[in-house]
Amino acid sequence: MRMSRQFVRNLAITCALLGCSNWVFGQKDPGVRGGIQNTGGGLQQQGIPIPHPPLISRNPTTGETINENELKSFLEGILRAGQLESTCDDCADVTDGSPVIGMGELDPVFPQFHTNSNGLGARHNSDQCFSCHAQPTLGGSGGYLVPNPGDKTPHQAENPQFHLIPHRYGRQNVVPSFEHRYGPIREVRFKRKPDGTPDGGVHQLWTVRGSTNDPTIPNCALTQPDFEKEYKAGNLAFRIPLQMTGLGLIESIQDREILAQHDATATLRAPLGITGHPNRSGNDGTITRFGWKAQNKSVTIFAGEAYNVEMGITNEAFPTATEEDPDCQGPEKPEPNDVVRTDNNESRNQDFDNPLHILPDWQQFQILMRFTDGPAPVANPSESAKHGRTLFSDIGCALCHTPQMQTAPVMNSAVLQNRPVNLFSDMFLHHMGAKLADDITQGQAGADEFRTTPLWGIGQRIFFMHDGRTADLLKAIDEHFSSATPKYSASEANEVVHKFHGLSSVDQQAILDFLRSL
Amino acid sequence: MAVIEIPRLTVHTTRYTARAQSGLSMCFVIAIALLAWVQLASAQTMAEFRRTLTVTAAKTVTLDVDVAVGELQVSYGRDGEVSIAASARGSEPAGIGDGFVSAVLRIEQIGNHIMIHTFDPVPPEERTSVLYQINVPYRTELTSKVNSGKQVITGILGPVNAVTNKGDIKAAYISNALEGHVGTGNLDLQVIGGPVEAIADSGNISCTRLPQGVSAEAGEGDITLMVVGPSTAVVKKGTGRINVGGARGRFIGSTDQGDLYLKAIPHEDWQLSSVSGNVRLELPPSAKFELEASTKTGELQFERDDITKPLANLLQFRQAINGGGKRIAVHTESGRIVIR
Repeated sequence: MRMSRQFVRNLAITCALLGCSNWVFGQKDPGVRGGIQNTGGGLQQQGIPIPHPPLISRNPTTGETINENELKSFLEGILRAGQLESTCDDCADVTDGSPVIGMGELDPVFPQFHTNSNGLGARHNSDQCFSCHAQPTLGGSGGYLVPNPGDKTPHQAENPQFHLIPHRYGRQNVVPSFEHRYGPIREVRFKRKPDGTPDGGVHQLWTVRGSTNDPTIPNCALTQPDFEKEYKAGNLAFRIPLQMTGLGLIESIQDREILAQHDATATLRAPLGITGHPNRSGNDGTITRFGWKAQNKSVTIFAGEAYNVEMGITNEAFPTATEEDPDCQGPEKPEPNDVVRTDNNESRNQDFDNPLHILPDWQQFQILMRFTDGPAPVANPSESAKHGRTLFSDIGCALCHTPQMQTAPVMNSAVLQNRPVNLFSDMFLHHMGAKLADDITQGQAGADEFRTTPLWGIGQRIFFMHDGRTADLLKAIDEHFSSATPKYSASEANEVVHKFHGLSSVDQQAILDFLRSL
Repeated sequence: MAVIEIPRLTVHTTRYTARAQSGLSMCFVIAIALLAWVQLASAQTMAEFRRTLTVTAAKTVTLDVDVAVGELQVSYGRDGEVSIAASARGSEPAGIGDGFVSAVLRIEQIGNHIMIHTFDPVPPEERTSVLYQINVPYRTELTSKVNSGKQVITGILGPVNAVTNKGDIKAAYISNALEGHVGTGNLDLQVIGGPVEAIADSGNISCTRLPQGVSAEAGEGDITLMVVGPSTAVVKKGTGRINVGGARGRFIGSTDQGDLYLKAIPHEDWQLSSVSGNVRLELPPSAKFELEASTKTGELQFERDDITKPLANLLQFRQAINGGGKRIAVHTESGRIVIR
C-alpha cells in the first residue's frame, strides 16, 4: 500500500516533469511573423491602412527594373483591384476607378463603405478583390478585415465573410455556420449534384438581394443554396484564397525548367515514394500551375475566372453569368459586364466621358498580378531558421517544395526574365491521401491530388491547407500524412513526415522557425 | 541541290576575300583608331550610390527633396522602406569617382520624415548627368524641388508639391492633391485622385484622368485635359491651345490667340472664351444644353441639325438644345465659334 502510494507520487512527479519539459522544449509554431496585429487587418484595426502590393523588385540577374508603362499598368491594377463594386451599372459613389478622397475612407484606393465601380454579379463570393487578398498586404492571401470601417471605434478585425461582405449595403444574406468570425475565408464547391453525379463547381455564397444602393433590382428575390444541408451531408469542399503575390514570376517559369527540376530529384524521391505529375492544359498540353490544383493556365485566365466566379462579373474570358435572373441584374446591365471598350455608343464605352477607359478591370488586374513581387523572406533569419533551412532539405521537404526555379531567359518584360524565383514549389500535383482529399477533380488533378503549395510568404499566412483547416504550422505538417484507405493511396508525403517526427524537438522547431522566416 | 550550292558559295566568298583583304585591313585599322579617339575624347566616368532606410508602416512618410541638378524619380516600391539610388555620369574633368554621389548628397532621417538635399555637382559644361531614384511606400507625402532637371513622381498617396525651375514634371497615380509648377518645361499629369493645381510659365500642360479637376495655367503653352472633373484652364498669352476631352464637371477655359477645342457631355456649366483663337465644341447628338454664343468681330458656325441656323453675320446666339440643360457660354473677340 505504502509502495503503491510512493509509486503514484513518483509517477505524478515524472508526468509533471515530462509535461514541463514538453512545455519548455516542445516545438511550437511561432505564429504569424510580426504578429497578427502588424499585418493586414491587424493594422487596419489600429487605423493604419493595409500596405499595398509590393512592386516587382529589380531583376537581380540583369539589374533591369520595371519600365514606366509596366509601372503605370501595375498602379492602375491596384486601383481596379481595390474597387468596391456596386450592383447597378451607374450607381457608384465616385467616378469608376477613382480613389475615394475626402470621404473618410482609411485608404482611398481600398474603400470599404463607398463604391467606386459597378458590375457586381447577382451571385458572388465578394464585392472587392482585396477583401479576400489582404494578408499581410493587399494582394496577399485571405486574412481579417475590420467589419465596421466607417465607424470611429473599429471592431477587432475578423473574417470579412462573417459580416462585412454578406451584409454590406443591407444585403440580406444568411452566413453559413462554416464561416467563423475568426476563421478562414472559405468558398464552397459542391462535390456532387443532387442526382449524385460529380459537380465540383463553385457555388457562390452571397446574393445581391436587399442591396440598398441599387434602385434597379427591387424585386430581386434570389435565395442562397442550402449550404447547411449540404454541409451536413458532407457535400462541401472548401477552398481558401491563395496569395496573388509573385504570380508573374511563377508564370514566367518555362515548362522545361519545371520538368528539369523534377527530374533532378528523381533518385532522391524514389525511395520516399514521391512521384507527382503536372496538371496540363487540355488545349495545348503545357503545364498549368495556378490554383490549389494547378487548374489554371495563366494569370489572365485566373483573373477572368476570379472576376466571374468570385464577384459575378462576366468578361471576355468568362462571358456567361453564373446567375441570369433578370430581376437581380438590372434592366440595362450589358453582358459581358467588363470588356475592352470598343463600342461606338458613348453611354456604354464612355467615349465622351472617359476615352481612356479602354482595358477592362479584369485585364488590369492580371497586369497587377504579373508585376507584384514575390513575398520577401525575413532579412536576417535566426540561427534556428538557418539550421531549419538545411534540415528542410535534409529530410526531403524540398523534394516537392523546390526552393528555387529560374524564369525564362528571354521574355517580353525584362524585369521578369532570367531571374531566380524562390517559390518553394515544384508546381506538380501529388497524391495527399484520404485526409486532405476533397473529391474534386480539376483537369488531371484527381480527388486527393493538390499542387505543391508555394511556401514563399508562409511566414505571414494565417491559415494553411486548401480548406484553411488549421492555423498551426505543426498541424499543417501533420496533415500531410495520410495512410492508405480503400479509396485513396497513402500520401506521397508520409515518409518525409516520418522523418520530421524523427527529428529532435530542437530540429523540428528549427524547421518551423525557417518556415515562418519565409 | 544543297550539295551543289554550298561549294559555290564557298568559292564566291574566297574570291571576295582575296580581292578585298588589303582594303579591309586598312578600314579596320582606321575604325579602331577612330573608336579609340572617341573613347579618349569623351571618357565617361560613373559613380553609383544605394541606401535603404527603414520606416514604419504605422505613419505616413514625409519626403522632402531638393535637387540642384539632375533627374529625380520618386515612385512606389514597397511599404516599410525608402530606397535611394543615385548614379552620376560625367566627362573626365568632372572627377566622378566612387565617393562623388555621397559627397553631393545629404540624407537625413527623423522617424518617417526623410530629407534629401543635393549640391550642384559640377559645372554644367562638364556634362554631368545625375539620376536620383527614390522608391517609397505608398503612404508618402512629397515636397520636391529641382532647380535644373526632370521630375517623375509615380504611385504615391500624396499630397505632392513639386517645383522645377527648368525641366519637366511627370506625375502619375497620385491619390491625393497635387501642386505642380514648372518654370521652363512641361507638366504631364495622369490619374491624380485629389484636386490639382498646375502652372507652367513656359511650357505645355497635359492632364489625364483627374476626377477632382484641375486649375491649369499656362503662360503661353498648350493645355490638354482628358477626363477631368470641375476644371479651369487658362492660356495667358500667345498661340497656346486648349484641348479638352471628357470634361465631367464645370469647366472654364480661355485662350489668347490659340484655339480651344472641347469634346464632352455637358454635365455642368461651361464657360469658354478666346481673344482671337477659334472655339470648337463637339457634343453627342443627344446632349441637352443651353447655348449662349457671342463674338465681337468673329463668326458663329453651327454644324448640328438641332441648332437653328442663324442669320449671316449674327454676333450673338442663344438656344435651348434638346429641351435645354446646362449652360454653355462661348465668347470670342475675333475668332470663330463652331458647334458640332
